[in-house]
Amino acid sequence: MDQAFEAAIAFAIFVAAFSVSQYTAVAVYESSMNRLSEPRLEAAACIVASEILLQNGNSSEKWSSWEPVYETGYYFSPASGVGVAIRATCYSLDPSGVVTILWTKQGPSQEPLGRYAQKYVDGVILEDGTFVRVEAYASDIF
Amino acid sequence: MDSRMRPAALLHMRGWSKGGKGVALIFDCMVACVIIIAGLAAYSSVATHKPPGPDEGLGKYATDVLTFLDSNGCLARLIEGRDSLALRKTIGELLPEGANYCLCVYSPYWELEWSFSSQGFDWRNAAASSPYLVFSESKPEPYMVTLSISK
Repeated sequence: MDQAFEAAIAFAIFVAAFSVSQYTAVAVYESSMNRLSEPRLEAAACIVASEILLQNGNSSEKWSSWEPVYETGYYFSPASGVGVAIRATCYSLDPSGVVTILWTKQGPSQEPLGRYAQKYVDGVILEDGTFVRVEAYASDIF
Repeated sequence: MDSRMRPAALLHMRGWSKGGKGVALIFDCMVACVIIIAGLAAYSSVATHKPPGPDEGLGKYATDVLTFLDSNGCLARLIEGRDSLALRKTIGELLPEGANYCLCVYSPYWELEWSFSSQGFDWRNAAASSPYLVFSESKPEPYMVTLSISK
């Protein structure tokens, strides 16, 4: 009876500790994989943001007619399976230092792509003195 | 005596268990689990440790922000007025969500005149702008300004 009870306790402890170790192992693996894919996603976000800036330059006209479209292969996006979200915001600055948002354009996804998405931010001063901030988010699509 | 049986034998001598096999099993399981968890923890800290590095893109963006603020002489006015509240609001609007910053104003001889930073700013993963020269009408010497952004 005693031995059976001890064996049951031992088994329970083993199961509990085994579950903890498995959980830790999965968390470590997931974290490692995310760290490995960070530079790749950051590069993708950087490419998309840079291309948008190259296409529109500092022309206010181009920026006002620009729409944040994204389709696979539209930019030099490195791989399929990478989701991209773009957000651009235009600011004006008055002499007293008050910043006003003139417009915000966001697409194709309305939300940044989850907590593992990598972001790249760039900016450009336009010919009319306004400033455009471009944020590109890249994330793996499963 | 087998070293694996020592804890059980000790307990047996103290009268904790008659057979000792069950207790030995418990100890074996506990020791094995501690070793597994310690190993995993050590592996995770070594294999996945990556010191947070500065983001070069953010440094460039910080320079863009300073250039924009200086485009109509606004930066010089805000610096001369030591108006950290207005500067906080202006810079906070222009930075991306979740970014923290530190603005440092130096004399031309790199003496720090004043600085302020947002809550949560961390130098360890911050990227700084190039030193930016700000000229004002009331002062013959320019200010040197750097804006650092951390994620």
